[in-house]
Amino acid sequence: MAETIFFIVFALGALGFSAAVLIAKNPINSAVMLVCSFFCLAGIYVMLSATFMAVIQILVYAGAIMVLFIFVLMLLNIRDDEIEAPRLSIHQGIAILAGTGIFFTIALSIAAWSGSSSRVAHDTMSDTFGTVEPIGDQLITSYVLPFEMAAILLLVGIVGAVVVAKKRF
Amino acid sequence: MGNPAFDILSILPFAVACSFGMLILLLEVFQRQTASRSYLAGIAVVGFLLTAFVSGSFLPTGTARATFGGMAWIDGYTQIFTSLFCLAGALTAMIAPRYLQEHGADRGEFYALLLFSVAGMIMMVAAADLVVFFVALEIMSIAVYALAAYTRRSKLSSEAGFKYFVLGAFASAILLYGIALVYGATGTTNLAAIGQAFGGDVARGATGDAAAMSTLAQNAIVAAARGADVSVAAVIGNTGAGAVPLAILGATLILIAFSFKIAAVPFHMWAPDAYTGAPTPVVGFMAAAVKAAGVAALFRVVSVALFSDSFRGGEYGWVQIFFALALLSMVVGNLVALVQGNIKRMLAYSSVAHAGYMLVAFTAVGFRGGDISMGSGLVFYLFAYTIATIGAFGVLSWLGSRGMPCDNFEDLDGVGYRYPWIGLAMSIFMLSAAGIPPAAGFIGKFLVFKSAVAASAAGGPGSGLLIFLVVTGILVSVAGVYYYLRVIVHLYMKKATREVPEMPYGAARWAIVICAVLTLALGVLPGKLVNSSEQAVGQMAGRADGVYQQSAEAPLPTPGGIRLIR
Amino acid sequence: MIDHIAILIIFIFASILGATVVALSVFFGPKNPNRWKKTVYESGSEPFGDSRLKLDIKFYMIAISFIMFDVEAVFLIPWAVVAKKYGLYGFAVAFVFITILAIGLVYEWGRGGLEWD
Repeated sequence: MAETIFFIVFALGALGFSAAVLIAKNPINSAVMLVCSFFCLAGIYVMLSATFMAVIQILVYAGAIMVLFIFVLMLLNIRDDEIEAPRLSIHQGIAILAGTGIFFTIALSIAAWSGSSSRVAHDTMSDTFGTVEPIGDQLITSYVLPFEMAAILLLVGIVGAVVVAKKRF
Repeated sequence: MGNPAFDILSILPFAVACSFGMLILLLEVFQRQTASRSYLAGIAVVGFLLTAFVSGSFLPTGTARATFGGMAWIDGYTQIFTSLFCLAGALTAMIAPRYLQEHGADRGEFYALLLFSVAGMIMMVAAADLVVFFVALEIMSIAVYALAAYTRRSKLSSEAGFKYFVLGAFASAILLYGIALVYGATGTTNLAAIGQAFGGDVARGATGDAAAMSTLAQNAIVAAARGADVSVAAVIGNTGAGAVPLAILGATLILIAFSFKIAAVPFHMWAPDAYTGAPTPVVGFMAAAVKAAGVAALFRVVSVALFSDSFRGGEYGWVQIFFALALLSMVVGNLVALVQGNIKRMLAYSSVAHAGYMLVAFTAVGFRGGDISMGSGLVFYLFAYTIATIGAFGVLSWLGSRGMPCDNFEDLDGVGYRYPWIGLAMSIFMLSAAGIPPAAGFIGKFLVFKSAVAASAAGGPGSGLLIFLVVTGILVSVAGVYYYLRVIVHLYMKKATREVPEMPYGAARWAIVICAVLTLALGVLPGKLVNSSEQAVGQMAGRADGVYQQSAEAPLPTPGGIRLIR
Repeated sequence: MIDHIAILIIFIFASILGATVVALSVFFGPKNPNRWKKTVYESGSEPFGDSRLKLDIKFYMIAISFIMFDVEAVFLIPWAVVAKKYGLYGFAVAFVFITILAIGLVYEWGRGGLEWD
């Protein structure tokens, strides 16, 4: 019961804040709303026993990546009068139609999945599932190859950033 | 963990490419800013050759092994594509120094990023698990985004990098969502195990037989054997018939992301702008190697994970999807290329059309009950296409200089007389792209269309459509001959209007010559490569053999999906 | 899940506290606005120009480097928790990982990516 209430609160929060990201006129407000949405998602992660993911969600997304977002917004330096009021063009109409269609496809698929015998049996999960230790175990045994590849990915990211953004290059 | 010694050995190609990349980064940093960087291109070429050598040396031909507990497959398929990517990388590294010096971007990062992206491509094709695949794809993509924006003084280059990056990141997100949905439906990210799940429970759920839910439970055992939390595995075993729509949706999203990477219509919108703006040697690399990596990895994913009868041919089967993609790409690519005035743009649309021809092979494989030997023409096609494309862009970057790019058809006027060898090479590349003998492109196209005709000859519903696809393909490629020949007309039948500055870097010319010779050689003596591509496809690890038949005794994927062939 | 309820309580409590402090000053603080109080505080000088400056791309470099090494730390936390169990193997795994990123750091440093100008 309590779980359902928490879920509803977090889910509505995530949805509402995400909508606010789109609606907000000032980009900085959008960014702040996005942080709130991330927090709600972190709450849902905690309810899924993915506690490590929840912490990462807040540290990396709500923390680091939002800093980057805001820097980019300041870099672009969009003035208030440059932000046009959204008008409904034919493209947007098509986009809305397509988006709605995709939404219902996904929603119906997920509904069919969760309505069938495939409900996740929450109580069979071990207590430590989703905490740091089992993740660490997996990371350096089964997933050691993607783990090392992630280092290369980060290295490429650093090089790419220097190539694209360093002034005197 | 399997066999640790083999594990380390098996990723040596990846490790060698990455090590050379890092070496170049360090050399670059500890050097005076003013010194020339051309020698780094030489190091990069050595790195590529060593990578290809290492890849071919440690595994006896005809064997296939899974490494890192089923995270990657080292087999003939991985090896043949490793050599293709290394070839593409080496040729690009030879073409680039001249262009970079000319455009004031003579920095070592170029070669490092080239090596990293090839390393990513190798792992993309080797990937046996969607997690490895995704990380590899990102390594490749991010390196190429940076390469596309490499000459930052040019606004066009920045625009190209930006567009490619934003749309590419969007495609990555779609891919990730697709992977997540497939994982939700099947409980695994291992390609072979996904294949089992699609062939078993998910498919049976589609036909209403919800009782037989064995495979997913087996996956749970596999997951447990791989060291996953056993209780988690038990949770996974509970999925069932309801997972069908979710699985189909996830697989469709994965296909969409692939279509974006290989620039198939209607996911090709980024290609013309990105190809026009990016530095010319990079465009050659993007059009050839990145597309080849996408197609090769897609073929592995499709043949290993998505081959089940119901999923392939059923109501939302991927045969229909590939049919539509192939048809649209061939028609739109060729017709739009007809009216382009900019050669890079024309080649961009031509690469879209080539993606269409490649997808014909996928459609053929799908019609023939997932018999992937039909796809061996694809490997040959990718070799022919890659070499000719890199060569063509190599010619464009050799002819262009700062402030005087070789972008439009008019810029080629008279080049055939002034630089006979370059003109001849460009003509060979264009003939290959158009599919005219004796260039390699002809054999590639012939093999792909032949496989489609052979697939339709087996009869069955939809074989008429396959013939329709082949006929359309031949018709539009005849139309395509017009714009390829237009290049040759400008090379030889117009008066020269411009002077190409003599440049001291011979490597670019050598690269062009190598491309031209290879294109001709593959066209005249295709036998050896045809054989090795048949072998490579036949030995592809992880898939159920030949035509997949679902039976109750379907073999369990051994931990991590290891399957030794022969 | 119930173990984490304390975090939620702290979170809610902190939000309420923050909101209360702001609300108190809004409702009970003295407000005597005049023209000079409403100007931007510029140490007594007349404010001029636009307060919105175009931010230098240098900030972006800093932020992106921060994220890269932040994510590195995220990968190393789970490793650090279990590393002891795996002995030399565990050490080797992280050694390779950190070496690769150390080369990234050396590169960025040498390239001047960490310098302000």
